[in-house]
Amino acid sequence: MNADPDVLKRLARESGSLLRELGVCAEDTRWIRRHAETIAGLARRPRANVLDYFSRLARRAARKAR
Amino acid sequence: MKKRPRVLVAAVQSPFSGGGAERHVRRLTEELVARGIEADLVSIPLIERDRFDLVRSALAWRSLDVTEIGGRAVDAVIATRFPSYAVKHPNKVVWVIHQYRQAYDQFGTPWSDFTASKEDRRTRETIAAIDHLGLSEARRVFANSRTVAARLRKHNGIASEPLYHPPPFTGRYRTGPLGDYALTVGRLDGWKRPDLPLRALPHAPAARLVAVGRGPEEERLKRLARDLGVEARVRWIPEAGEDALLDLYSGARLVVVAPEGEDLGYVPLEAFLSGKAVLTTEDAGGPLEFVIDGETGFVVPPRPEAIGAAMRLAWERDDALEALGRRGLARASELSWDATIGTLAAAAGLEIP
Repeated sequence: MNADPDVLKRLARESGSLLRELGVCAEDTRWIRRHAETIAGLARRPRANVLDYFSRLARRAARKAR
Repeated sequence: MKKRPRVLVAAVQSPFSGGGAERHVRRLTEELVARGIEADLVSIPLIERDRFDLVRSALAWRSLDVTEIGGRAVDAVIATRFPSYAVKHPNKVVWVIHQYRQAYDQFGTPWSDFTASKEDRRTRETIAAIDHLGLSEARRVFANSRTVAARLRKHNGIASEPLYHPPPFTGRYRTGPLGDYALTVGRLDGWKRPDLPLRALPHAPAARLVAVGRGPEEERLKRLARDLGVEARVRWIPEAGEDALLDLYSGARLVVVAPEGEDLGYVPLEAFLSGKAVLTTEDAGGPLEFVIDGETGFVVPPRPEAIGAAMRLAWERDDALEALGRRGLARASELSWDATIGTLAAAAGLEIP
């Protein structure tokens, strides 16, 4: 899949916010990592740094969203 | 010409193990359509490989925007099981069939695999958060029985109204003369306690049992029947088609409902619509909303000897048993889809064309 990186970033932010809404918090690191893996899997060449990047985005969204 | 209201029924699919809940949402959609509502069913599977799958299923529902489809507004959503009610819609009505019970009333029992681990604790907290979010934003919350409504109140502090509905083959059940077997219908799962009627047989020497259903307990139950020496009095029917099931109901002497803490349970209603009395236990949950001891059936302690004693009575007192069945038939016949759909439509502010 050749997903636009900006689309993936938006997906990570929005879904991170939704996870927060559903009760997931920043401390649920394993779940957030799993979620980031799903998003990173949509990138053309998923690499560790891509995964870390999405993990950070999703975690940040999960922390901020209300 | 006035446009027909559009309604989406949000359902949860359990792939390869469709049961009563799946039949229920299909029937609900058909009944909406039959009354001129443009209704459709949307299902997302609930995958339960690990804890995060539960959250992810809720996320899938929450991510959907179903306010408009194909350029036309969706007027209402009727959500049913966890986590379908996480879906966002400004006119959402929830009819809770049941919650994710392993996280609530079944927690700490053999029927829940949740432990005291940190991840399990967080999962249970998150399930409660999802329930609170999805239900508190609904325009109206119904439960499919008083038992389910009481659980919502107890575990989530959410008020809901019981809304009953007829069982799946309504219009096709038929009565018949008292037969020579007690009937049980349901998955052979531990929490359904299929061993109870079997263990009751030694206490009711004239009774025979027909058990419809399959499940993980099947082989253990057959061994148990051998060990109890009642094997010759039990007939196992792993799967019965619709016609065969209706025949079994109409030909039974009485119907035994053994599970603990059922949400509602179609079996008692199906038995009543077939003119049969129901024998159930004091801890049955939903069935007790219809099975009244001495009026429409027998309600006894969940012990083999108590069930056996009631079976003995059922084999000795034909007249009394038929009277119980007639009263059950009258009670179950009061349920109608007209009333149920009318209530749901009114809650969603929809006019039935």
